Amino acid sequence: MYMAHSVLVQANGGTSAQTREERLYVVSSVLIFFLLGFPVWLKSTEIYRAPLPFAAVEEYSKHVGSSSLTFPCYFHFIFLEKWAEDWNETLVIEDLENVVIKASQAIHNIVKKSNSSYNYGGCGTSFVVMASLDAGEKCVRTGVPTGLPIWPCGLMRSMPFTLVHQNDNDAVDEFLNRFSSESLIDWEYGASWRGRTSGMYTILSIKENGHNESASGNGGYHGTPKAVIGKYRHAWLITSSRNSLIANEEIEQLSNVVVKFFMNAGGSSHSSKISMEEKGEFLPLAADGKAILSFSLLNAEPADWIFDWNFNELQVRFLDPILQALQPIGYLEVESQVLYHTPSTIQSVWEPAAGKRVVLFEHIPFFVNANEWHLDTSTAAAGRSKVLQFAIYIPPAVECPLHLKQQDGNLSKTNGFTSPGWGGVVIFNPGNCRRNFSGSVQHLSLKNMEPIMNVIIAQIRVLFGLTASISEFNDENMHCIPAVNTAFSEWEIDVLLRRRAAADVASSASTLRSLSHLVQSLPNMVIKDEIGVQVRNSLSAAAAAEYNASKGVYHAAAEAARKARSWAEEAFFQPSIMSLLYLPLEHHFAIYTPFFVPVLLHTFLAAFKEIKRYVRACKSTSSS
Amino acid sequence: MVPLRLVLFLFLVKSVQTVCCSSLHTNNWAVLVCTSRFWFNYRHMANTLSLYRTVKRLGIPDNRIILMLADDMACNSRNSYPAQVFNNENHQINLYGDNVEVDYRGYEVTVENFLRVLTGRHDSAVPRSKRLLSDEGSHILLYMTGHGGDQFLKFQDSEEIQSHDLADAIEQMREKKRFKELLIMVDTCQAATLYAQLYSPGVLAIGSSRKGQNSYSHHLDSEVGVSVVDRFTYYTLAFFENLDIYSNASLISLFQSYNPALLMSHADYRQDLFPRALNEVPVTNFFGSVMEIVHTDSAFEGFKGSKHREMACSAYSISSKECNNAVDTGMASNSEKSSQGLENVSVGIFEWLLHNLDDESADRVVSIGLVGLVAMVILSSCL
Repeated sequence: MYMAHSVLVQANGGTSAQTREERLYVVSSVLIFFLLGFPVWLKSTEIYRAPLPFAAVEEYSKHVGSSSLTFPCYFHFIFLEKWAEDWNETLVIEDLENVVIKASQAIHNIVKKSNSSYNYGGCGTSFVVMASLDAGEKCVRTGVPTGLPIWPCGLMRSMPFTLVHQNDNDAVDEFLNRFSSESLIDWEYGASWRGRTSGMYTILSIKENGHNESASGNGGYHGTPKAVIGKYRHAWLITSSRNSLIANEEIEQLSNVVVKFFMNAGGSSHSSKISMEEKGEFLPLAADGKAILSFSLLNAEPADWIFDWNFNELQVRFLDPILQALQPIGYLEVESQVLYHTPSTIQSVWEPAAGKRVVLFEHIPFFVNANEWHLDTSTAAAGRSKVLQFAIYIPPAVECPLHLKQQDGNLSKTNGFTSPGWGGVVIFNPGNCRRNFSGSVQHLSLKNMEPIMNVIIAQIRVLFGLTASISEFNDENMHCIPAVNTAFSEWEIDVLLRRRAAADVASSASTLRSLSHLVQSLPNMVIKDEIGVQVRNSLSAAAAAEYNASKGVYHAAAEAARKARSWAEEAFFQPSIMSLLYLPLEHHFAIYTPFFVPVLLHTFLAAFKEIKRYVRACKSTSSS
Repeated sequence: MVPLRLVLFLFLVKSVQTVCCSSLHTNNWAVLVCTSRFWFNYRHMANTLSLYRTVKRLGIPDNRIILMLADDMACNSRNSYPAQVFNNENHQINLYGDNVEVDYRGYEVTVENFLRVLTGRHDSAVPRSKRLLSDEGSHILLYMTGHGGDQFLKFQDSEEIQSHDLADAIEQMREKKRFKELLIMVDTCQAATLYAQLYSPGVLAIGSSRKGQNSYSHHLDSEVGVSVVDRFTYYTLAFFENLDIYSNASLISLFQSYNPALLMSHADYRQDLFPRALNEVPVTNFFGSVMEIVHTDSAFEGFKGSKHREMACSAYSISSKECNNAVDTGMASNSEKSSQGLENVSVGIFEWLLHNLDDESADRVVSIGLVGLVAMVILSSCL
């Protein structure tokens, strides 16, 4: 511009062609500089946005929205019968096929009647019913897909019928477990058989041989359960002998057992107002499938007594087996602390009828004194982890023994309560309620802690969406064997796994969808490469989960679903996505106008004038 | 930009029906933000601290409150009552007295941190106490006070948050199911404009004044020298004075308790996005705390735990040593078994060492070792 001005000053005397041309070159060079610089400026102020697979995410979320993740379930009914002489093999096969059809129909009806609540985590409509008749030397099967590892023939020969009729359920359960595992161990090489049995349930039908049901003598069947659900993946039914081979009522009962327990883990007593979808969400795990169980021993009044515990022992004895059993669902860690001077906010009242101090039912929601109980002080818990608090409260001597009152007015037998998603509280009343004036620390042994830990185990079950104790379902027709080794029966773990995997996949789809909407609505936001990588990882893990689930490989599918959700959450909660730039078009104008408009205006005007002059001069020279 | 926003809005409207408020209310959170600094904005910090006291009294614990303050009043050199903050000229309550846990103070109170708290996008090093760890069962109270204007709120005298940004952040919270219901309470000038752009269902908002109106302070404390409380907050506190944790006064009674003549402005509220009728919502749903309680009906009797490991293993006719390895690691393949056997042996020695070295013997071993070390050095140097 300066040069052009000096040229103009020089050439003020006369507008020769050369000076005219020089002026034109100068002005046009400035203009061309700006024009060339414009794309460079656009490129340099471009916001780096890693390309995200928006279309794939949309399609995936639509697909998940229409159908939740379903796992196939295989139900194998084995009828143990002595082969009668007049039986024809083809007729028996026909009977079995009838059984398969009727049972499938019955299960279908029950599932449909209870609307959608059985579809989530409950196999839905992707179940297969198989039936076989095991008569010792003869064995007839129908409905078995090829290659499926099912129980072999020969059960009739080794079945301990005496134990069955003596109602020694535990022994029968262990025998059946040994039988199934020994036979399955040959089928595939050792490592994978554990995962392969998930989703395959066997129900035996055993006839009472020769005993008359109505006889009142010893060994009669009054009061004995007719169906026994084991703690692995099998159950058995004891039916009275009938004329026909397999009765309709038997099929009905088999189907009921199958749906109620193996598909739906018994259903839940309270919290029926929560839909099954939320049940899956309410598994108290963080997005990456981990959770921390934090145990706190609360000494409310150390002046009265001080208690301590050896938590390592407790962990090894009570918690490790449970955590091991729950591994397919999530990774749980354990930590513990002992706190002092932790009174409750609630004053208990004296109940003269019971002769005890009670906490009224309406006061229980305020029992946890969050100001004095510093429970959430975990150093192991990272930002987005899930912590479940278990507080064992030792009341002061003036309130000992302290009991909780239930809603119906009775005193609580367990003195414990849970809060969904938070954890549980148990009150521990020291045996004799005598103050310890010496101030010494009293150690709680394993034996002291056993009743408390039993309550806590029940609370863990409740927090995971099951009933406190499986014995709640016992009645005269049903008996459920509690899982005394691991607190969770294997079929219960299957149900939880199905729920969690379906919830994981649904959550990852919705997270990715909201992430893609967010990213598309903010064109000014930088998107790092990491986000693209995480989104793609999440999509591929979700695809792997669907594939594994359709094949029936439960553990791998659950692991893949967990990864899908974890990646999706990582992508969504990337700290670099900050949507605080509300930058409409007016703001763009306001920012750039003061920089460029004055300069460009002058440049364009000068160029325009020069070009006009040049053209006029050209015309005059050419015409002259 | 505008048509895109419309498209996004339509998208989100369609997805609204998937968000049914069918989750249970399980916990309460409070996010209390004071956006002003400097001595003459004493009343804003007093507002926030008063509300902090109220929600704590009604039951929300400290680990569920995010308190953002500039926190430069109590120890300000102009404060003639050092370490004390009052909200009334009668000086009855020292708001800064005990148990005040400020999560974000001073220069940490920025628009970015505030939006990070709402959306949950923190750096991984941020501790849990500074995060809003709410879930789909949470009721959140969001209280903001300071200086505001049409569609914005001033933060720390250096930046603003716009109503669009707030609305976007809340929409992201809803998409990630970070709240069940949200109550926004704003005490600034032209407060109603701050929540005018909200579009997420489940949000209820109340402001101290409408567009074009100012909000005023209540009274001046001549000993402190500045106004100590704002009118809107003053009358809110007066409402909560008589309540306790068991009370069930409804939200509509709170909202209708504001007298425009006393406030010198019109307190406006917005309930079109809120699903429930206000006369059915108790104030303790937002200002207090509730724990959903489920009584544990029975204990798990007869838990045997690890003792049964051996029995289970003998069923598979595996030797007990291999069984422990297999059960410990959850795998049963042969190749891995042997390598784990080795590992277990070496780990076992270490553990045995650690176990056997209790305090006194450890000291002895260390001192013997030191003496031996010195002796060896002397010996080797003599040679």
